[in-house]
Amino acid sequence: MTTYGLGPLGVEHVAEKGFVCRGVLLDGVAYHGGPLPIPTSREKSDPGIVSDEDVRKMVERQGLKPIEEGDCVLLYTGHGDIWDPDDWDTFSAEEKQHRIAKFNSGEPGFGLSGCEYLARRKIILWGSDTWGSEAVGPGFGGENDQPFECHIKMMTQRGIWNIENLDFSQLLADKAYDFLFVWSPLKMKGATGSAGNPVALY
Amino acid sequence: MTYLQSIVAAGAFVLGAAVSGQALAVNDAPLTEQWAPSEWGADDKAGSVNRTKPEMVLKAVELVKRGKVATLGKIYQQDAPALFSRGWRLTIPGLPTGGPFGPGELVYNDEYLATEIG
Repeated sequence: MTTYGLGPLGVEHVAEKGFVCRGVLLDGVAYHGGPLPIPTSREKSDPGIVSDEDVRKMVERQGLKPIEEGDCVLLYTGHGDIWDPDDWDTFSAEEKQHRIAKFNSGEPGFGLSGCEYLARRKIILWGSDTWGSEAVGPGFGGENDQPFECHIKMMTQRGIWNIENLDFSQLLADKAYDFLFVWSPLKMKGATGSAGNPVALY
Repeated sequence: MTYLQSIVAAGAFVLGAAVSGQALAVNDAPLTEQWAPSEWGADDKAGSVNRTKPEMVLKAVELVKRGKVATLGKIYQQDAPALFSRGWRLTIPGLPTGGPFGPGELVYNDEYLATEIG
């Protein structure tokens, strides 16, 4: 790895294939009865931590076919609504600063048990409306003390990629919880990731 | 101690610590748990996207029932939330960037993008 990129392992190799899959939208807000809070503990039962049990229950609750190989699983936590995609430019600079600080201060999301459940189901992409897609609570940890362990165990260990900061507002308004999901990273040589704009068709 | 002696002493301390087994903390899990090679082989560079087969694509296409399209990205703008040192700064160089060309005095504009993304 150099300052000019990851050498042989840049995102252009993922971009060569791209992501085309059944997108599954897990509605954490409906499941919890409100936006998921930033976790305050390491417990799987913490409302800000989406565990393996939570994932199974959400799929069942939403009447979805079980998660299967090749799926792209996306989590709506409500935390992303702090960065309101429709109203952002109506906020004052001070309000924006306040919201940015709140948004960045931590996040609800998948705990390691949730991620490893998805890995066993052989998904190809996980993502959310947050900046990191996994639970970031006290000391930046989730179910365990290691910060960003889903990043490590999904991406570094298993090559299962993550997409962040998604806007699910139209899918939620239309109650579209599974859909054709299409997205590719840009073919940027040596990059670790990519900006982009996924498309959901339903 | 002279500067050189203190460097030698520091080096001996680090070497001694490593040899004695109380080395600097290192996470060896990728090696001891054999994270590589993956199921796709030592030369694979793409990871999970290797899983996608034509029958999966066709099955996902069947989910398109209403003919509706949602784009899931948020707007990239300078004052959007971004972590750490990340940011987005877009300018139009020159304004216009080029021209005027020809009797119609055509001009064009580019984007100059300075961004750190994760």
